[in-house]
Amino acid sequence: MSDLARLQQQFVAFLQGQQSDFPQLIGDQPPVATDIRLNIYHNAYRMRLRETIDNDHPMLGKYLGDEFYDILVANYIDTYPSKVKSLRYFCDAIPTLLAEQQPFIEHPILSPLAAFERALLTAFDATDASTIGINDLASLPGDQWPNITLSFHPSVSVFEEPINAVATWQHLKSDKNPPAPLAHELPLYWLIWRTPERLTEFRNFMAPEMVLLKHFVNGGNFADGCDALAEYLPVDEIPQFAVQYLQQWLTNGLVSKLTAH
Amino acid sequence: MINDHFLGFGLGLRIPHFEDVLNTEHNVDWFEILTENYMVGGGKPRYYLEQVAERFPIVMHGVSMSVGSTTPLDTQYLNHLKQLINDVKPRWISDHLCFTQANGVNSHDLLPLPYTEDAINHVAQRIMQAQDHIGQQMLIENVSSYLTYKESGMTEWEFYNEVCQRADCLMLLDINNIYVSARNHQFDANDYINAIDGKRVRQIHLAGHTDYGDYVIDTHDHDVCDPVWDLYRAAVKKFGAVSTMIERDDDIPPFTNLVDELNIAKRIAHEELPDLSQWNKEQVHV
Repeated sequence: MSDLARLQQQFVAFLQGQQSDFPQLIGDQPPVATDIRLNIYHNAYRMRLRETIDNDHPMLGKYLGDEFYDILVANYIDTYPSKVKSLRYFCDAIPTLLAEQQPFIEHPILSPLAAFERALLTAFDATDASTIGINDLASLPGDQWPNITLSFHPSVSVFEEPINAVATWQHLKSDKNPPAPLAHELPLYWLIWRTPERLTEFRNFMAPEMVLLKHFVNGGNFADGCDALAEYLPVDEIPQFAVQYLQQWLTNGLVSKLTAH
Repeated sequence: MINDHFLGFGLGLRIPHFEDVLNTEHNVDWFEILTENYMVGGGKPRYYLEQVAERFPIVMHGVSMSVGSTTPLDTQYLNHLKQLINDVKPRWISDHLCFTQANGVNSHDLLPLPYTEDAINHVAQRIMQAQDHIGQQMLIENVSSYLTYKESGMTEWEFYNEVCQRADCLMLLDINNIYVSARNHQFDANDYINAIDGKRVRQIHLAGHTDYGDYVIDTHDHDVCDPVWDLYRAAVKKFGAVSTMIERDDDIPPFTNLVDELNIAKRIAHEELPDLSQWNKEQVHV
């Protein structure tokens, strides 16, 4: 290993608080002590990462309070040092840490709350794509309906919620006391997307709509999608509901492309 | 004589100023973007950037290339950079004379290199590789530092000049960083300015810092201070008309405050360079 490589490894190990000979490589420059010079870098390293967590997870921070938040920040920086070029992705493993480490694992609301904040961020800067409107559906000849497939805007995602994380987020966002954590008997599903006006939106949606959306995401056509809904809706009501879902997606700006095969 | 690369006086494009940049009357000539902030698929940042780029020259300033690292250059990053260059069509791109990562860990800080012959060879080689990959000459910026290495055998400016000469890259001279390092390492900042190879200086950064008495930290959260304005005047005298901008990254004031501060730079440059009054910004904005 070259001297330059060794110096760099020692420097970064020092920043991470690991055993390092780095201080011995530093020239003495009075009147400022070497410790002070080294700590400027050490503090800046941790401060910058902390600011990133602050920016990405304001509601999680509010929920945790200062004491637990400080523990989270310290543990996260030590357990998941940044491997990414952009700080935009530094906090991606926060939901994982909250689901794995004490004392956070004792509070099952935390990981989904953090995951929801990350899902909103993902929608915020997802890849751009044009969207189509309700008129594109209206002009579709009736005989082509069974075979249509849809492509969704890249910002569209489904957030599966095992516990009342979204309600908690909403209360914190409105500066209200969050509700007590309450696990759902069955998961709730939230549709998240970015509108054509570049605003991030989300809404709760029921199993049939979610099933149809996932069916289209997986490349399925309208006719097969209606078949998939038979498990959830009376057969004679399926076409009406399916069309309503499509209309709503188009109105909300969720659909990038409609293909009539 | 004003050269063709002079863009005038610019600002770092910051999110709180998007609407002001586009929807108010101002005399800012160009904007610098932080490259990594726009390496995303889309959404508001890319939407605003597209609009700003339609009306103003843009330059791109990166913080993650890590030209000083001893691990291989990150080709995935360089590919993303190339894609962004293709999308934004900046007048030029820049990064820093430093390393940011080792042991597979990114420090997200601009860590100083030792000033040695080995480091010069290594960094110059890497800059050449990066320039080959993206197909254009880069600007390399001097960083602030708070420590020196025992093994350094030359001054920072000798190191900086030599790297840029061997890599045949251009310079983004940060005047505040020179001031900060001069205070921290007790050298004369004017010696630094006087030693720099002026033909390579394509852009100048100005910024504020935090003064702790015995040492200074480059925080970009204050106005530019008087000694840095004095150094800027010295730089203008030596280098002539160089595209100059103010970097503000924290405690970001209203857009109009930064425009007022930029006008100080403009006034100094006009006082030192009578030819500047003949400069027609419409030519470079085409």
